Amino acid sequence: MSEFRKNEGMRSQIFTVDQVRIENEMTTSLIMREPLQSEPGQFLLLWLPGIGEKPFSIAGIDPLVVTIADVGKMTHEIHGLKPGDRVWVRGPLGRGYQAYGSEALLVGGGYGASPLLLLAENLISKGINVQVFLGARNKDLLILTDQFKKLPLKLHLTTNDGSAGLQGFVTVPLEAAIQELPDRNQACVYACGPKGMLLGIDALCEKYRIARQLSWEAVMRCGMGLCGNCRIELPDTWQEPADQPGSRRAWLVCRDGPTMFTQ
Amino acid sequence: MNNYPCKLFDQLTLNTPLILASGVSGNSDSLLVRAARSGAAAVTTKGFTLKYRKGADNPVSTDWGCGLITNLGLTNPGVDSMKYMLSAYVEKAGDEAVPVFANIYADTAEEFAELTRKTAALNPVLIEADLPAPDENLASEVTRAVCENAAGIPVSIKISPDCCRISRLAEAIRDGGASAITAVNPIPGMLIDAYAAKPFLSNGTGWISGPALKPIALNVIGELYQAVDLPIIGVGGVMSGLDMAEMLMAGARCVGVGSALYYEGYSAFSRIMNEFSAFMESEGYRDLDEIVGKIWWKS
Ligand SMILES: Cc1cc2nc3c(=O)[nH]c(=O)nc-3n(C[C@H](O)[C@H](O)[C@H](O)COP(=O)(O)OP(=O)(O)OC[C@H]3O[C@@H](n4cnc5c(N)ncnc54)[C@H](O)[C@@H]3O)c2cc1C
Ligand SMILES: Cc1cc2nc3c(=O)[nH]c(=O)nc-3n(C[C@H](O)[C@H](O)[C@H](O)COP(=O)(O)O)c2cc1C
Ligand code: FES
Repeated sequence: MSEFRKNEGMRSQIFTVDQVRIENEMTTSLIMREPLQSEPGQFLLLWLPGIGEKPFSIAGIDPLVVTIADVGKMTHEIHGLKPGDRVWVRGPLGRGYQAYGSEALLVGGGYGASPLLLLAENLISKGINVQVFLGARNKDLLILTDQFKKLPLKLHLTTNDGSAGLQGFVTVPLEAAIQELPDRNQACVYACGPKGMLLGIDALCEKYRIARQLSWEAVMRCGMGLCGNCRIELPDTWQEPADQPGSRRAWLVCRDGPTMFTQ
Repeated sequence: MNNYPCKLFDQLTLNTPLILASGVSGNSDSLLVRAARSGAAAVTTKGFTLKYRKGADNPVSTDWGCGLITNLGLTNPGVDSMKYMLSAYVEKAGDEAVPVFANIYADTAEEFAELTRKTAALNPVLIEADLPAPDENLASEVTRAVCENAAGIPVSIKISPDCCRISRLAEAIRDGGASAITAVNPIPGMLIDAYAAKPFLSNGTGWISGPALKPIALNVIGELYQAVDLPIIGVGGVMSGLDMAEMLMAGARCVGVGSALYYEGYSAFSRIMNEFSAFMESEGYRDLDEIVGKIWWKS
């Protein structure tokens, strides 16, 4: 019998919450029953019918994990979900991180740590040496540290108030680690977090001429390159590809990104 | 490579017949520049209204398999901001600036009159007014209101395909003084998620664009071409150079793309144009006059 397959485009798929893991007082991870194949750094759009649809990073793929900070209306609803509840997911969307070189420096600010866990596992499986730098305002806001500790990597923690790890910004231990690298041409910095942190990291990488892949955030609406809402201007250090004229000043986080690669 | 220059009116010839349709990336000067630099021969702004419109909440769009459904709720900052957007566009695009079509939307002829006066002051090469409903009387009133206030700038009226008497509508638009007709707007539709037992879009309904719209657009363009002697700006489901050739053969003078930017991104412009040129060369057509409306020619 021949099989009829209808083209469903990008319609949402249902995922069922299997476990809810509290990461800190404002962040929880939803661990689903089902997997979602994707590359580290890609994102999804999570729909709660009647409430809304918002973008989140993919923190684990088999099963799917999303790590969500309670910052507003929809994320607050998500924090009320229990095992057995269903959510609707479109994705994976966007361009993820690409493995590069032999030394990886992963930097996460706040919930920006969430895509890095999957990335770390992926890079380690490719034989790449991984160091992770997590920063937050204070100890209670650091997330996923226990998960990172289970992996064979070197973990550096920083907090603005010194309540855990080093006091200061993540760029401080990052710069020290860059200076100790055996070969900077074989290294890549991967980062996800607030804009100010990304700009700081970009400047640091420029200073030491190191490749970097930064994951940017913007307010998303369509998530499919149509509305223009998520456009951002990239730093001058980014070389606009010849086949994407005009993209530096009008880069769509949902379509061109979220990750930006500067070599 | 021949670009196939496209004469829309006496005072306006585009470098190629391929342009950016309204609504996709037309709310930002930098995105209009990106479209121009990617190969659009003219760029159309997002629909501007008299006042700021916040737009709809997410979800606002998806790809349902045979096309897109979108309802952004006409998000735009209001016509007063169009001035800044257009001057920033000209400055940022520099030598690479292409003509701008200003798309506007209002619910009534009176509102259109005021909106057109404000838009005409910005001096776009064309004012494209979006007809709120495909009704002959309304078309007549709106066209007159827009043309009387356009200060001599050519006007195109953009129509929806869900109209049973396209030729009457076209005549009303011609008699109202329009210089062109843009066809088509997306068609209303709804997507339901059975498991959620709810419509998918936050507004309930939306508009269908992309591949599903192409045969509908070709039909409307064909009827318009036969009904009136006005240039037609064809839009609806163009994804390839062949789609473009088909739309020109149905009667369009130039062709706009919107949803293709979802399916492919900005490189869609150069790919579609390369495919179109290859088609023209392989079939031995020398210029657009040899194919516009060709399916209707007797001989
Ligand atoms: C590519 C990408 C990946 C992300 N990954 C994660 C993640 O892994 N974990 C996580 O907790 N958050 C993530 N976010 C941010 C997350 O989308 C917002 O926190 C969420 O949309 C807030 O929704 P809300 O209804 O609770 O907030 P609201 O009450 O609507 O607003 C609160 C704040 O959330 C932000 N926000 C609101 N709407 C959007 C939107 N449509 N798109 C982006 N930001 C918005 C704004 O900064 C706003 O000020 C990501 C955003 C992007 C663009
Ligand atoms: C996201 C989106 C927004 C749109 N906004 C407008 C608009 O503001 N004004 C308008 O006249 N048409 C608007 N359109 C319609 C397009 O200009 C075009 O008529 C339609 O999408 C069909 O072409 P396509 O299949 O190439 O997308 C919009 C379409 C899309 C997909
Ligand atoms: S969210 Fe609409 S273009 Fe990116």
